[in-house]
Amino acid sequence: MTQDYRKFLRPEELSRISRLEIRARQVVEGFLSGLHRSPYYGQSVEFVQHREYVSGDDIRRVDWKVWSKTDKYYIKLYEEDTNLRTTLLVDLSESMLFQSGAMSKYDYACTIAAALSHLLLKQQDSVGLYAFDDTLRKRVPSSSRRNQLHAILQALSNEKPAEKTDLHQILRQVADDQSQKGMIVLISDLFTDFDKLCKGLTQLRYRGHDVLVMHILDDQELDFEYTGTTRFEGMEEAGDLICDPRALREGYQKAMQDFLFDLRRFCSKNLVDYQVIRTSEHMDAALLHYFNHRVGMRQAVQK
Amino acid sequence: MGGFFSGLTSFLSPFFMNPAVFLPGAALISAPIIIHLLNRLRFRKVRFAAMAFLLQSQKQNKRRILFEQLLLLLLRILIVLLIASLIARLMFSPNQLALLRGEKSHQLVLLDNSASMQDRWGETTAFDEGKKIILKLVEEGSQRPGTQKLTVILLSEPDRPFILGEDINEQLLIKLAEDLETLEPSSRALNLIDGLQASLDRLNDLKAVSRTANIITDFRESDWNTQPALKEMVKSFEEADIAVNLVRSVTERHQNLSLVGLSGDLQTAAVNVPLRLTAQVRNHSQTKADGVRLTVIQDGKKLPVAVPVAGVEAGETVAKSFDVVFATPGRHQLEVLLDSDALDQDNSRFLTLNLKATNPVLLIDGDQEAKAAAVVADALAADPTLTGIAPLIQSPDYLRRNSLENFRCIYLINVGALPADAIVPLENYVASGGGLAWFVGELTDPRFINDTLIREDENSLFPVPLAPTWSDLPRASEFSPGPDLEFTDHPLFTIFQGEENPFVAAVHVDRFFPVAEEVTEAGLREEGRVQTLVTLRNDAPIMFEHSFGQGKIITTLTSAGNAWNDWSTNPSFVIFQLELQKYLAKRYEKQHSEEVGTPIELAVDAARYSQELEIISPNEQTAQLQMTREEVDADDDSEDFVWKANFTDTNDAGVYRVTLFDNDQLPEERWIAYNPPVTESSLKLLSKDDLEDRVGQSDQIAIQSYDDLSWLQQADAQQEARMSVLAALFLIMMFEQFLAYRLSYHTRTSGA
Repeated sequence: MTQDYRKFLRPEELSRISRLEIRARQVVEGFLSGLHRSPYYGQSVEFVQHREYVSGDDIRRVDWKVWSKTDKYYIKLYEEDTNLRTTLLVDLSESMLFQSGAMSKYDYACTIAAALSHLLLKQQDSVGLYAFDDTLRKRVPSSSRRNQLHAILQALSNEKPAEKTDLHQILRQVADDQSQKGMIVLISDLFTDFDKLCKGLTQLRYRGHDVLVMHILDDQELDFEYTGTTRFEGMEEAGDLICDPRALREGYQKAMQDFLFDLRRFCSKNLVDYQVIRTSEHMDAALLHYFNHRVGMRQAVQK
Repeated sequence: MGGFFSGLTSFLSPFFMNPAVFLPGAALISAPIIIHLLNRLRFRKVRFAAMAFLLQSQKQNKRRILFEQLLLLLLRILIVLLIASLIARLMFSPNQLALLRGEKSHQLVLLDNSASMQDRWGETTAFDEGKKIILKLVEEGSQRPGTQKLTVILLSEPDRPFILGEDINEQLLIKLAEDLETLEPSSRALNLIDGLQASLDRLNDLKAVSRTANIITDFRESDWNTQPALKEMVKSFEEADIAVNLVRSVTERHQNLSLVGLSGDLQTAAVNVPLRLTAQVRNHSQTKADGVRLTVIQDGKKLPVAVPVAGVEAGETVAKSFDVVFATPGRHQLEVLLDSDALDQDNSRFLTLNLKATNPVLLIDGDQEAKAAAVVADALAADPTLTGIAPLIQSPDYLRRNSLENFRCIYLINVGALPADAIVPLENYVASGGGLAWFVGELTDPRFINDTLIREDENSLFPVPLAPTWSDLPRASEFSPGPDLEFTDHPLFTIFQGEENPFVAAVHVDRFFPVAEEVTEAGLREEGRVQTLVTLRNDAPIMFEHSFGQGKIITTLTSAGNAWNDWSTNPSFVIFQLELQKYLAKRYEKQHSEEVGTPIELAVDAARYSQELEIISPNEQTAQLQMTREEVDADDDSEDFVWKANFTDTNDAGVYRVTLFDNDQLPEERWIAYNPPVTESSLKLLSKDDLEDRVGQSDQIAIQSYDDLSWLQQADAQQEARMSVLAALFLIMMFEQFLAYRLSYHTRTSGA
């Protein structure tokens, strides 16, 4: 039962669904129906904690039961009251077009972005979108309106990746734009300058944003299982190379793992949540990771 | 291009059995290179995002990858090369390393060309088979030119190699085939030890990397039985680290009859007088030979009737006598032939003789009437046509005035004191080989004999000093019968021996000259110079034999005629006289017969003959020789010298005609019969096991059977490095697989 829903979330199955909206819905609904214990119960909002009443607070939220027992005024705090603002940063650079399996990183990223948007909007949260390559391509301001999902989907589907990535500039712009603290979800393959990426992420953290990095990578980019003489033509003007990939595999993997290790270390140091997601993985992995992050964040708040 | 290819092939030939296969195989080494290049040209394209990491990996591993790829390529080329080497049959041994340094292995062949190698069966002979083995050896070797050298030594000429250290190649094969075509075995008995010693010396002088002595012979038992040193000689090859191949060129033992002797009383031979010859036939077979017959060829003409010989038992020798008659004086030759068998060479035997019209015998009688001489003359030649003897009765004066050289022998009958100028020519005559017979009589002067003829230096014309006067021997009474003459065991009386001879028993000696008293029989025996041949009934010696120079002297101390005895009236007298004449003449007329291979050695008076010499061989080949001058060791100061000649080309049986020329260029012929050696006739062979027992077991010594020439290829097979190449190939393939696995990517199995 636990794994049954996953058969609907396989990237190869989802790839057949052309419309992103349906795909997002499929992911979210499949995901929600598959969970044993969902932290969301229908339309109700969840109690988080009590807070001592201060003047100016709405007296309707005073917990009278507590008053009756302790003779003190406490106000119930509900989650919906946190008013979560999530900004999705989706990388639309050329490297995201790489595809060895059923879905390209671009498709996968878009699907995740759409699914997250769908899910968040369903919870009345506000969601915004930045689609970028070396510059900002599309921006959908945060909103929790009903048609927000449509705007996001339109923004994603209209873009065709063609350019290089410049994350630093985008992250700086996002940091500048998002004066209000919120959650920033970066969905990218992160094939950009490492230092600039770190700098950008640091800026976001500096501004108090909660940053979640979904590092989308193709299987071949991680495993590098090419055989036979191959001419690798670099995307984003990275140059060409004719080689026997088997001979370079070990070195490549080491370089990749070093990169991932450095990234992970940086993220953990800067309290940036970081997750590598393979395009061959089930879509719910990303969502699950998101919710884990949310829960972790909530627990951190509760403590 | 073809020349280059053939040059390359010949260059490779020392290392491969099939060098022609290796070249195309080696060309396949381009296959891995081409595949490698094709792989570089034919690639698929992938648009890749994470190029930075790929380029980083490529930058870091560039050298390692290049090295590993080159190593892999090298290994694959090596594998192709090794496979090509396997197919081309690479030969690799320490010797090959030496070959690279320019050294070569040396094959020495000692070919037995003794008479026994003429052993014939079917269309071939042992010698022909030996030649085939040599050609086969060279043919095998010529497939790898430049690796081997060949020396061929013929047993007949161990010091003059037939082929000396020539490279084995196609040219040599052609040349050798032509040379061997005309090569025939000799008729001689040869010493295998000499050949082996010469071979050993040759090989010891060589610096070749591997030396092999191939001894091609017939393994006759008689060779190994009579030459025990053969075993030690073969061993010495082993000690010198020389491989020995004892190669048999005969299938099996063949039946053989041989003529081992042909003789006769040639000294008495005369025109139209039947000459009795005796041929000896030996059966070397394992079964009795029946129907044997002798064919006689007289002066090149076959006599119409063959001489039948009774069956000859296996291993036995049978003598068969027959008469031949020569119608003309002069030199004659006679050949006796057996029917053809395995070994033809020993089926013939030659004989030469210088026939005179008559054989003059000088009878000197001191008596004017010469009655005794007449009796002897009658005994010798009652009819000269029957005995061929021409007796000449003369007085002692004849000795002083005439040359004695032409007489077969001289009788001195009842001779008194001789003048000194008669004694000297007489002594010269006997000293040079003439025969002399003394018969005493009334005129015999004991004082002259004792004082003049008997000398202190024991070189006397008369054997013993005589008593001052003669003695009478009374006739035996009826009660004491017995012959007056007691013969000893001597060739003269062989004809009287065997059974009681009534004729000899009837001879009576009435008077004789006793020897001087101081001479005793024991003293004579001790002295040994004089041999007593006949004694009288009273034990008084009556007949002696002693030597003077090269001649023989028979002295009878009774009369020749009937004055002192009645022997001349007895039939045995004629027989005795004829035997005596033959015996005395024997040494004078030496039979000129030699064994083939013996050189003709001549030493002739330079004052009489010119330096030129002509020798005509049995095959009618004429050799003109110049004799060499040699000083004679003379006691006086005279500068005498002789012409000497040494003619060694006497390998053929038959008659060699030697012609000397005197100072007037008049020819003087001497004929010498050369006969095959009797030792070569036995064809009994040693089996392989017997031979192994004799030479001992050794890795260095291999005994090769007839018809089994696999050892020729075996030598190569031993050198072929098949196993080594296979092992190397296996190891390299393992390493290549390991390297290829290490360099390539392999997905992990799900279970892992």
